Amino acid sequence: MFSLHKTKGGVHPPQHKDTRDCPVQYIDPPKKVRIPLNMHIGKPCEPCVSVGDHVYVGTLIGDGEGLYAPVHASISGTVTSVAVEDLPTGQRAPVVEIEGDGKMDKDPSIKKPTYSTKEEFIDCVRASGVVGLGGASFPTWFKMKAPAGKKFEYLLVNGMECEPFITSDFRQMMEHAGRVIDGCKRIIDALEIPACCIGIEDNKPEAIELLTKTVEEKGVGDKIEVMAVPTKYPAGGEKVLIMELTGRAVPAGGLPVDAGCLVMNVTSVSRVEEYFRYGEPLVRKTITVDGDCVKNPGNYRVPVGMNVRDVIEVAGGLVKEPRKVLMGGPMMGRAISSLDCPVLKANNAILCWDDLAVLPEQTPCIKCGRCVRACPLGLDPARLAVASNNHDLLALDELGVMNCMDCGSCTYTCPAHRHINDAIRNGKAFYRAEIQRLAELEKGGE
Amino acid sequence: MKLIVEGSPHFAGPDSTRKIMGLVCLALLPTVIAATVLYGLAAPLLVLVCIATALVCEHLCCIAMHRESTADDFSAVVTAMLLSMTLPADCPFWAGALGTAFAIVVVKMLFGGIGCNIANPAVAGRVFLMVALPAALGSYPAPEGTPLDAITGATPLAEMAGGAHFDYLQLFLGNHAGALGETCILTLLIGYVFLLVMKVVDAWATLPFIGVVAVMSLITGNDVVAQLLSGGLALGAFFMATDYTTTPTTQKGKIIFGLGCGLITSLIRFFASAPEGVAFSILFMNMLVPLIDKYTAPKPEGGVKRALV
Ligand code: SF4
Ligand code: SF4
Repeated sequence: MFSLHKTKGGVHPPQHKDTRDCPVQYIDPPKKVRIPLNMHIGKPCEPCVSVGDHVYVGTLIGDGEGLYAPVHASISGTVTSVAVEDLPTGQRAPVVEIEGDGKMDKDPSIKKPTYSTKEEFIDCVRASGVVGLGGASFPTWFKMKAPAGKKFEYLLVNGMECEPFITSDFRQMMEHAGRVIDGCKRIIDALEIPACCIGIEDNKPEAIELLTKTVEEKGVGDKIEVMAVPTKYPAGGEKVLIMELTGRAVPAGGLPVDAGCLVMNVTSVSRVEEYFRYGEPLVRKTITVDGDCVKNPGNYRVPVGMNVRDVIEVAGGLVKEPRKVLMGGPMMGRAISSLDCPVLKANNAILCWDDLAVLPEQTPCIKCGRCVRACPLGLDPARLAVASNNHDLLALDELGVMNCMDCGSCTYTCPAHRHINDAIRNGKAFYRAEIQRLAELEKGGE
Repeated sequence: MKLIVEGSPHFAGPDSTRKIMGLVCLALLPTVIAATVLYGLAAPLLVLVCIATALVCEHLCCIAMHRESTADDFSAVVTAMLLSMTLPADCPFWAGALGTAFAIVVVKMLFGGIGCNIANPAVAGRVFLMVALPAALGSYPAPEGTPLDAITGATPLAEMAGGAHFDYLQLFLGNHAGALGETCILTLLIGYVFLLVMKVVDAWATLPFIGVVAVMSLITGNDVVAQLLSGGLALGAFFMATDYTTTPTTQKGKIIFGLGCGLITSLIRFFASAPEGVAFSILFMNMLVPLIDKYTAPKPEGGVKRALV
């Protein structure tokens, strides 16, 4: 059904997948969680609990409308605060704080969801609170709604895990292969998608083998195919994955559906399936904890909203003081300013670094063209960075600044260690604001 | 606990400017050794004088420009080595130093330093010396202890214009009169292949450059092999048409650049009165790089959704 297609650019950072053989460990519930209500792309949720309320695991604590995903309590206990806070990730969000009672009682209203139509299915997925768990955090249910006139031809399941260090998706595939395949089957059946392809980087041969075998055992080989994809960062970028598996390019400013694709991370698929099997919404997340400062690196299943400090404690604590702590992988993860930071739904790693914390000094661009060759989307990162720094709106427009997916390949490969990706990020923000301002001016002028 | 907060990515690749420039210096080393064998101790001394001049000039310029010194990134060394390679071994040291100073101060630093120069400093320095001090560069010493009877002689290109023929092997080994780093094709090739293997340079400009010269020699009835093995072609095509800053960034752009260099070199060699055209051709094509870059810009996947225009 599927074949591999050539993609541009990409880089080969060292893999550091040292935790790949660490099975997921289940941990004792923390005493406290702080759950932000903006763990998805779109509008933050409105809190629907107040201080003093008793909540169970799975109780709805944040709801909204439009582009959003509901948020649920991840431990049982009492709500101790509902307030807007500045998080160490640099974001500002309403946060619900829950003091645990240590019981982890499930919400009594939780039951196995049922559906008979496509719309009901999507509604169930919405209620599950699942978002793009590869890190994108786009509400999954919203993705599943194909706009009028467009339809999904393929479900592409992203099992690439191309970020260095992270092995949580790998563990998900190894430990829950059946669930992943059942999830794929359920989604393509419910959404009437003809074919599904699970793409896995060829540095994970065990996962490829296991999933291929599972597909065979379940007799769904006519619809689901497992593909080994050459290891290259960012093979797991949404647009890159689509290009790799279908040869199609997502048109600028468009969505995967414009290329006929629904793209989901393996763990997202698995969590959707889990919801349909047991009715428990997304309240726990498997996280790879690694880095030279962590005593017991490994994969841990932690409640959403658990403090990074507590997670590190569970992983045996720190053996030395880190100089940089990342939420996510080295290529796209976020450096946090303090360990008092809640784990978010889409987080898949916590890395505590001393040895790798300091990056080389920036030197002048030597126009070597490595960044151009590394960009998987065919952009000109060096010129985009200059245009961003100069606030050159026209150049940003012409060079397609909004196409950039922040993969960081350009910065990684740059021998002058230019902060290209950083500059482009700022350029995007500037561009977005300016375009909006111009649009408003135009409206005002009419 | 004070944590470093900065934007992603948090990994840096293995390449650095210093490493790249260092590798280029290393790649030029065999040719310096060959020049020492061929032309005696004057050759490496001239190279050293140029390197010292370049480092001092770059450092002083950085001080004058109130910026951190870039003298330690080896780029000035590369410029100095390349420039000295285009000089005859008996070129007075002061002339070598003058050319280097011009290359670094005027061509490189006045334009903003590393990465900002429009022309290749080494090439521009060489052309400057050719124009300003034709006498210092007028004659080329023959290799020591060779059957060539004159101490200084015409270069093969000049002699070929007069109808002389050459032994290809001697040309390949550099056993003839010429600039100290231009004659020994063997060592230049070793250096270039080394850079190719280390992925420092590619062949997108080099091959078209050499190819066009070959085709044009054929068309004009010249000795193709002798043309390819003599003059500054190898040095230029291997080490100057592969410079980052002064050549296009994309594959397509590099091919155009190489074709242009080859064409101009051939025009000068075969139709103008000057026997050598590599330096001029590279310099000329350097000026066209912004234009080439503009028309060979990479195409974004999925196109660009323009909000303006
Ligand atoms: S990789 Fe770095 S040095 Fe090379 S062109 Fe891009 S920004 Fe400039
Ligand atoms: S960060 Fe943007 S510009 Fe840089 S390589 Fe990735 S997509 Fe291209």
